[in-house]
Amino acid sequence: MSNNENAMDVELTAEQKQAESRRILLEGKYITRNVRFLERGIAAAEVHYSHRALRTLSNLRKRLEPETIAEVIAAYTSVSNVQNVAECLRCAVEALEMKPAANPAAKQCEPEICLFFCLLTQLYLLDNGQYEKGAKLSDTLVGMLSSSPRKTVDPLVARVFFYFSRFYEVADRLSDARPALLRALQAATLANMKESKAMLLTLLLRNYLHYKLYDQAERLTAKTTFPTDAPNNLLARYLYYVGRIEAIQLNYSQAQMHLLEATRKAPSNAATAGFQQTVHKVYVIVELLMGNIPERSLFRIPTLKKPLQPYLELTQAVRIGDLNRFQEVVSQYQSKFLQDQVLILIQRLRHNVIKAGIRSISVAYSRISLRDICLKLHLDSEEDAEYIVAKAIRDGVIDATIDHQKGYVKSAEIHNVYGTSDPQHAFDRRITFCLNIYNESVKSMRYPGSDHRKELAYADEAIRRERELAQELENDDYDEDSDADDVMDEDL
Amino acid sequence: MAVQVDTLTSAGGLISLLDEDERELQYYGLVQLNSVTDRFWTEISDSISKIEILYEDESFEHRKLAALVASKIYFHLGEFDDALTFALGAGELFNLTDSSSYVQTVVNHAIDKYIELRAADNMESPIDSRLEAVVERMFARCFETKDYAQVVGIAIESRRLDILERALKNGDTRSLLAYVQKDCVGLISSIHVQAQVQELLVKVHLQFDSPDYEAVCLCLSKLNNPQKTAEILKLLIKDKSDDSKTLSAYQIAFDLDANATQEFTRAVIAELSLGDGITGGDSNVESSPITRVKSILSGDETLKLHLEFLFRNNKTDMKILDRTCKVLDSRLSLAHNAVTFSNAFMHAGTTVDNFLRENLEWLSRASSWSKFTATAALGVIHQGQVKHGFSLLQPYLPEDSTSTSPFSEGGAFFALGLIHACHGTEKVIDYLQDALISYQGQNAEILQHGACLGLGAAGMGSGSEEIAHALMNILYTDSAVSGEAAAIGLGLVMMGTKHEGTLKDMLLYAKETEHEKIIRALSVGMGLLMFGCKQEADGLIEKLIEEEDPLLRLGAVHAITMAYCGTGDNTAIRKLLHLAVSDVKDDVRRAAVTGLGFILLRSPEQVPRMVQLLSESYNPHVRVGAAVALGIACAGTGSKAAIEILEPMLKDSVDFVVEGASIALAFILIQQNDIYEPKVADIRKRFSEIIENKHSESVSRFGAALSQGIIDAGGRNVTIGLTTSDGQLNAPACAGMLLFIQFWYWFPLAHFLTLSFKPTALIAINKELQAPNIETTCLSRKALYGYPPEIEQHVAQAPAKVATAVLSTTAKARRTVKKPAEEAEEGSADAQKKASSEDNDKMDTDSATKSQVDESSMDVDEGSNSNDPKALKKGRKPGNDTFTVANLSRVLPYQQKHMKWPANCRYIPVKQGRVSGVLLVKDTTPSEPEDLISSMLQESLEEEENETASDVAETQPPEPFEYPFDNEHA
Repeated sequence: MSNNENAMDVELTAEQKQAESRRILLEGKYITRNVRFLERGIAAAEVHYSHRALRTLSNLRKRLEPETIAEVIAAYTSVSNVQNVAECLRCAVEALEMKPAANPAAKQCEPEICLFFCLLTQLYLLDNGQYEKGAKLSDTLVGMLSSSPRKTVDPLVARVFFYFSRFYEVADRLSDARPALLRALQAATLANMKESKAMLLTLLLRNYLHYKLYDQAERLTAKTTFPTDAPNNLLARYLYYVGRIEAIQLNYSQAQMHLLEATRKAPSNAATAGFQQTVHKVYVIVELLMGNIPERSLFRIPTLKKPLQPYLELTQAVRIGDLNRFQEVVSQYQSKFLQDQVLILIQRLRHNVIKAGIRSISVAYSRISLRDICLKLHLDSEEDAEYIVAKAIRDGVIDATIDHQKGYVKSAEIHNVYGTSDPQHAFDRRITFCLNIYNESVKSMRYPGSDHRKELAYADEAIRRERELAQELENDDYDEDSDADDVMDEDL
Repeated sequence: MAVQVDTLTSAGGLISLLDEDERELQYYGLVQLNSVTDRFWTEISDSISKIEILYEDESFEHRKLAALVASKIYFHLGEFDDALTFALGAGELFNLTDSSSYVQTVVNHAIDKYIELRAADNMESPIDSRLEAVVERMFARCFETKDYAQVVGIAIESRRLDILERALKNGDTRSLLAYVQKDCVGLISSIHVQAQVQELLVKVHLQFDSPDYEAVCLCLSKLNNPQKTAEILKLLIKDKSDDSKTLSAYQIAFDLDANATQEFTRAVIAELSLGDGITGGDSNVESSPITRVKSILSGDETLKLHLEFLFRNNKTDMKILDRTCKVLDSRLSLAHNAVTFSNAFMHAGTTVDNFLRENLEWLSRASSWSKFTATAALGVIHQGQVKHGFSLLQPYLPEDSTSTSPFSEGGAFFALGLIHACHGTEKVIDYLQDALISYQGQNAEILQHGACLGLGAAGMGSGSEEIAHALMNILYTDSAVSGEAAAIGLGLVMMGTKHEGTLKDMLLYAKETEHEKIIRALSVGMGLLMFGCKQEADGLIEKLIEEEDPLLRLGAVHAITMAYCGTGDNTAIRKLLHLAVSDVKDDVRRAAVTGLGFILLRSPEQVPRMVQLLSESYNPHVRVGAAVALGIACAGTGSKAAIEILEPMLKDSVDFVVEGASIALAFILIQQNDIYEPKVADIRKRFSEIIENKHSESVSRFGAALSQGIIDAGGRNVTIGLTTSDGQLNAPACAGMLLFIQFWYWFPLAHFLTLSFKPTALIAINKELQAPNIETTCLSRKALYGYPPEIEQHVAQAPAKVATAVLSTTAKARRTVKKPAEEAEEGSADAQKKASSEDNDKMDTDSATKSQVDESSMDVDEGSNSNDPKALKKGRKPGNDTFTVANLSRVLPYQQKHMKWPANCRYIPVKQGRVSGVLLVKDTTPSEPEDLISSMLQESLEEEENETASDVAETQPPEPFEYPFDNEHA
C-alpha cells in the first residue's frame, strides 16, 4: 500500500517535473521572443523594437521563475562576451542562486540583451522580497551602464534605474542612491538618451521630495530641461513632482496647471488608479488654495470616491467658509493628511476658508457691518475682521470698500464677466491646449512598416481589372458595330 | 571634513564660505566645492558669479581652482563653450589624462572649436595659444599611443599639414598613405585644402627610396601638374636596367587615361614630346617606350583593348531584339527609337551591327529625328574605333559640304563624336568645327545640332576655348534646335572647369533667350561646368535656386548634382530633399530626387532608405525621380533593398513611372544572372511582357525596350561605371548619365549613356602591349558569374496572335490546317535564321582572315542555341568553388574580390591588389617564346585597311549596307 503510494508520489512528481519543465520551456520561449525583438532593434538601430520587447514585461513578470531566467541567460553566456556584460550576467545568475552554466553553443550577448535579462532578475527579486540581493545586483548594473551609449539601450537603462532606485527606497536608504543617479543623469544628458534622462530626472525629484529637499528639487527642475519626446507616463510623473514642488513654493497657478496636465497625461485605467488618486489629492488642495472650488463631479469618480472622501469634506468646509467645521475636518483626518504629505498645504488653507467666507458674504450683502462679519466667521474681534477684509480687497478676492467710520463694508456692483476679455483668454488657453495635443499626436505617429504594401497590391489588382474591363467593353463595342453593319448589309 | 561632505544635503554652507574676507576660507570653500560639483551643481550654479569674480581677481592665489570649479559647473549646465573657456583658464589643474566624462567632453569640444577656428580661414585673429596647447597635447598623446589614424583625421580637419606630415612619416607609412589618399582626401570639402594635402602626399611619397609612382601620378593628375607627371614617366622609361620600371610607366599611363581628364593627358603628351626634342633619340620608332606611353595616354591602346575584349566576348542575344522589333510598331517614332536605343546599347562598343543589316526594311521606316537617332546609334555601336571612324561613317556624312539628307547627316556628326568620345583627335574636332559653320539654309540647324553634340562628346573635358567659342557662336544664333545642342556641347567641353567667362555668358543668355529648349540645355550645361567643384559651386547654386524661372531652378539642381557628385555631402542632400518636396514645378522635383542618386553613388546602401517614402509619393514625378535615383546609385550592385522598392513600381498606374522603374531595374541588374540574383529572370520576363502587351502605354513599352538594351549592354560585357576601377569618380561617365536622363525631353540624348558603360574585363598585357595567354583563378562558384542563358524561341505565342486576326469565315477552315501551318511557320523561321547565320558566316570569313577563330565567339556569331554555360567559357578546372578565368574575359564587379593571381604564373602583374581592368604583367622568363592571344578585331581591321589601299571599290567592308533612306525632307 505504502509502496504504491510512494510510487504514485514518484509518478506525480515526475509528471509535475515534466509539466514544470514544459512550463519553463514555454516561459523561455516568451523571453526569447522578446530577445529577438531586441536583436532586430540592434540590427536596424531602431528604438521602437526595444519598446516592443518591454511591452509584455508586466505579463511576464507574474510568471517569472529563477530557473527560466537562468536558462535563457545560459544560452547567452559565451566566452566572447565583453567583460562587463559577462560580469553582469554572472551577478544575475548568482543573485538567482543558480549555478553559472557555460554553454558551448552560446551566442554572444549584446548589452541590450544582457540588460533585459538583468531587468527580469531585478523584477523577480523585487517581487520575492529579496531586496538586499536586488540592491547588490543593481549596483553592479549601474556600474556597467556608462559604457554603451547606444540608442537601443535607452529604454532598458531607464527601467534598470527605476528598479535600482526602488530597491534603495524599500531599504529606506534613498539618499545613498542619489550620487549614482546624478552621475547617470550627466551621462544620459551627454549621450542624448532621452528616456533615461526623463526617468532619472523623475527619480531624482522623488528622491529629493522623499527627504523634503524642496529647494534642491526646485533647482534641479530649473537647471535641466525635461526631454520633449519622453514617454507619457514619465512625463505625467514628472509633472506631478513639479506640481508638488511648486505648490510648496507658493506658485499655485503653475502647480495647478502641471497637476492637471499630469492627470491628463497619465492613462486612466485600473493600473494607474493609485497615481490618479495621489495626484488628485494634491490637485484638490491646490485648487482650494487658489480660491477655486473643485467640481463636485470629481469626487464622484468611482476610483477616486473613497480615497478623496476627507478631501471632499475639506472642500465643503472651505466652500461654506465655515472655520469650525474646517478645524474639525483637519483634526479628524490629520494622520491621513500627514501620510499624504499635504498637511503643510492644508494648514495654509485656513486663510482661504476665511476668504471664501468673506466672498460669499460680499456676494450676499451689498452692505454689511464689520461686526456681523466677525460673528459670521467666528473671528476674535471686529478689528481682525477689518484687517482681513482689507487684505481680501487688496488681493482682489472681493471688490468692495470699507467705510471705517461707520464700520461697514460696501460691495461694489457685480460686473459682467463676459464684458471683459477673460473668456477670450480662457478660450485661448483651451485652444492652445488642444492644438498642442494635436501636434503631439501628429508627431508621435509613425509610418507603418510594410503592411500597407499589401493594400497597394490590392489596389494594383483593382486597377488592372478595371482596365481589362474597359478594354473588353471597347472590344464589345466594335463587335456590336460590326454586327450592326452586317445587319444593315442584310437589310440592303 | 570629508566625511561631513558625504552627508551634506546642501552646498549652501560651502558657498557662503566664498563670501568670507579671508583668502584661506575662500580657498577651503573652493576645494570643497570642487569635490561636490557632481552632486550640488544645481545649487552652486546659482552663485556661479561669485566663483567667476574669484577667478577674475588677479590677486587671488588660487584663481585657477575657481576657474576649474566654474568650468565644471558650466559643463553640467551644458554650456560647453564657457566650460572650455574656464577649463583653459584652469591651466594645469585641468587634467587632460583624466578619463572622466567632464574632461573628455571638454577636450572634444576644444578640438571641435579648434577645427572650426582653423577652417574659418581668418588667420588675422590668432587662435588662443592655450587652446592650441590642449590640441597639441592631444596630438602628442596620440603619437605616443601610435594612434595615427586619429591624428591624421584631426590634422586634416584642422588643416594642420605639419602634423599630418609628421604622422605620415612616423607611422606605418605605406598603408597610412594609402588610407589618406583613398579615404580621406575625398572627404575634404574645400578644394583648396584638398590640393594642399595632395601636394603633401606627393612630397612624402617622393621621399622614399622606391616611391609608389602610381599613387604619386594619381595625386599629380588631381593637382593638374602635367610637367611633373611627364618627368616621372620619363624617369621610369629612361631606367633601362629594369623592365618593370617601363612596365609601371605603362601602367601609370593606362591609369591616367582612365582617371584623368582629357585636358590633363593631352598636356602630359605635350610635355613628353617637348622632352623628346631635347634628348633626341629614338622617339620616332614605333615600339619605343616613349611613343608607347604617348599612345596609351592618348587612349588609343585602352580603346583598342576594350574593343578587342567586347568584340571577342560579345554575347548579345539577338532574339530578344528581334522579338521587340517585331512587336513594336515601327511606324511610331517612339517605338522606332526604342528599338534603335535597345540595339545601340546591346551592341555598344562591340562593332557588331548585324541587327541593322538584317532589318533594312525596319530601318527604312525611320523618319526625320528617328533617322537622326538611328544614324547616331552607329556611333554607340562603334564607340572607340578611333582609327576607322571616318571610313565607317563615310556613307552618311555629307559630301563636299552639300547636304542632301540633313537628319542622317546630322546623326552621323553625332555618331562621329560618340566614336571619338573623350578621345577627340584634331582631325575630328576640326572637321566638326568646320561643319558648324559651313552649312546654311533651313536644314543647317539639324546638321549643327548633330555637330554640336558630336563636338561636345569628342572634346569632352578638354577645356578648349576654341571649341567653346565656336559653340558660343552657334548658341547666339538663337535657334532652338542648334542652340540646345550647343549649350550641351559647351557644358561637355568645359566640363569641370568652372570657367568664369563661359559661365557668365551662359547664365546671361539663359535669362535672355525665349527658347525653353535652350534654357533647359543651358541649365544642364552649367551643371556640367560645375562638375566636382563642391563648395565652389555654391555661389551659382544660390543664385539659381532663387530664380523664378523653373528651368533655371532646374539648373540649380543640376549644378548641385554635378558639383557634389559622389561626395555624399549632407548640405547638398538637404538642399535636394528640400527642393524635391517643396518646389512647385514637377520637373525640378523630379530632377532633385534623381540628383540624390548621383550624390550618394559611392554609398548606394543609403539610398533605398532615403527614397523609400519618396517612391510612394502621390506625385508621379517624384516617384520616377526616386526610381531613377535608385538606379543610378545602385547601378550594377543588384541591391536587394532597391529591387524591393522598384519591383512594385513596374505596376504603377502612371506610364512614365513604369518607364523609370524599368530603366532603374536594368541599371541595377546589369550583368547579373539568375543564379546570383534570382529576381533577374523574373524582371527580364516583365520587360518583355510590358513590350508585348498591346494594352500597356507606349511610354512604358519604350522604357521596357530601353531597359532590355541596358541590362544586356555592350554584349553583356559592360557595367555602369560611374567610378573607375581605382575608385575615382569617372567624370565622362557621370556626364553621360546626366545627359541620358535628359532623354525625358530629347530622345537622341539617350545615346550618351554609352559614356557610362565600363567594360568589365580582365586584360593582362606584356611590355609589347600584347595579351599573353594567362589563366587567373577565381575562388568562388562559377555558376554565379555566368552569362544568362539565351531566351527560348516563343513558338507557342504565334498561333494565339494569329487567331485574333483571323476572319470568322475562315476560322473553321483555318483550324483544320492550323497544325501544318504552324510547322510551316516554324520552318520559315528556321530558314530565316539559317539565312542570317549564313550571312554571319560570310561576314566572318570576309573579315577574319585568320583561320583560327576563337570558337567561343564563333558560337555566338552563329547563333547556336547552346544553353550550356560550360560551352561559354573554356579551360577551367573541374570543381565547384574555384575556376580559372582566361585573359581577355569578363570579370564582374562582384567577382573581383574572389579573383586571385595564380602563384606559379609566368607573368606577374606590376600593380598589386586588383585583378581586373588593364594590367601590365612582367614576364619572369623572357627568353622563352610567348603564347600570345591573337587579336581578332585588330587583324581584321588592319586587313581592311590594306584592302582600302589596294581597292577603292571596297572602301567599307564592315559597312556593306546603306541606310535605305530616300530623299527626305527636313
